[in-house]
Amino acid sequence: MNDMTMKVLNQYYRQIIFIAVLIGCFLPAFIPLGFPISATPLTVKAYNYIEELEPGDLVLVSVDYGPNAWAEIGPGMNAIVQHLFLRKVNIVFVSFVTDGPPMTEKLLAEIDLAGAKYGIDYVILGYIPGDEVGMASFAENPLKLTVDYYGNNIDQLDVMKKVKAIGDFKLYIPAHITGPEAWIRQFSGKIQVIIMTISPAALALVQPWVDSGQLYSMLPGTKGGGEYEVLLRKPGIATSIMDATSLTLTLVMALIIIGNIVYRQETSRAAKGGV
Amino acid sequence: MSWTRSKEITSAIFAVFFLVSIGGYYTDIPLIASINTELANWVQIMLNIALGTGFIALFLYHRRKITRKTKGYPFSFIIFAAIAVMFVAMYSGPEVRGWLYGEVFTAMTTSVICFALFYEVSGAYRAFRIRNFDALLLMVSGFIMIINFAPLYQSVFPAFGAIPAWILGVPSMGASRGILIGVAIGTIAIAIRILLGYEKAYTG
Repeated sequence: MNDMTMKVLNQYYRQIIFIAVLIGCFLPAFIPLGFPISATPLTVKAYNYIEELEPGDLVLVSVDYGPNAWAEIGPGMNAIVQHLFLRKVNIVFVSFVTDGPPMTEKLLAEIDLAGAKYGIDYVILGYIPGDEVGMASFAENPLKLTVDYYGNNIDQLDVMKKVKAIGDFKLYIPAHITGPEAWIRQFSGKIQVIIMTISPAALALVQPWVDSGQLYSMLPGTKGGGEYEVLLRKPGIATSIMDATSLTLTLVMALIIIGNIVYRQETSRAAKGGV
Repeated sequence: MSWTRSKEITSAIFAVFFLVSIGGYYTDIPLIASINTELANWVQIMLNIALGTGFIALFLYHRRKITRKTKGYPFSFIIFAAIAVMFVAMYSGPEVRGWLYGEVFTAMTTSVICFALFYEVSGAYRAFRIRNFDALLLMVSGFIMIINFAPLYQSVFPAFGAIPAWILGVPSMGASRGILIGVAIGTIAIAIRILLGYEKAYTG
């Protein structure tokens, strides 16, 4: 590297990095790169379980993230919930965070409901306060609520007539960005299978629960969503985000390598007595 | 009445609630289970009330900022306007609410979160300089995890997937288990300290 390049990199490295990241994030939005995506074993495991569900089986989904976590979890949830609708299962949506119900509406607005009707095939129960206490309360008696998110009496909703106890659900899909302990404490053993949609940052925290079998599988955020869309053969927002992710992370690695070259040259020059 | 302020009373209240909750979780005694359920209902009612008090506190805080014209007080008007708009939107049907929440609020919060990316990359540029052996290990593990989260590399070089899978499945999982067990033991220790009256932060 010549002196001029070194000087520019040292003086304007932040501006160069910001422009590179900006290009990495935006370029795939205008020019789809179509980088290949292969599904990891846990995503395949989750997909296969849902593929084996029968139409009419009950599935519980808790949307426990807010708008700030949408970019991390939302696309993954879109993919997995899309699969549930394609399998014609009955879905009960619930939330243990205040932002959950509007995020559920956003999720449903972004996917193909495959002709599912509200109240007959799916229902949004809304927000249950109390964090883990709310989860415990719901796990003890899912019919404790008398009305759904829109104020309809749940006795009048066909999908809720099938629910007698928490064990009636064949699958539970919680989605959140925090540690998984509360959901596992309250639902593990009560619902046969739990597939968790989580932030990739929480991957290491969730892995022990998958290994112990208390979690059947997990979907690490948008990356898991991209893999899931590949399995579904229905490319969506997660797939497009993965193009940007691959490109940006490649740029990050290139920048780190360049940073080290600059650092090595600087230190060797300093050792020789240069400035 | 001084006895009501004694620490024994608060410790006794804590002990009763604690033992009933533990009993409700680990035993199958109907009486304890029903008391536990009732206590859970109380918590939910109290938390609903707390949401209301939270709103009142927020209102009073920003009203005070406006009346005293403290630094940044014009933003308090925006808070009130946003609360009013969302309140009206929540009762205006799913379309209006969905648009505001999904297309405006989500986009804005996502943008704020994404600002961090620029600084993270800028930080990585400097932090991953190999100054010593520890820094080399940090950079190598960082690269492996970057490869793990970039689907391109796992597809083109499937063997790469085995390395992050091993890191997550063996050393990282061991560390995670250690943290989980440590947190659990710490929680039990705090509960015992509260029961014995040593921990005053919760019982006063």
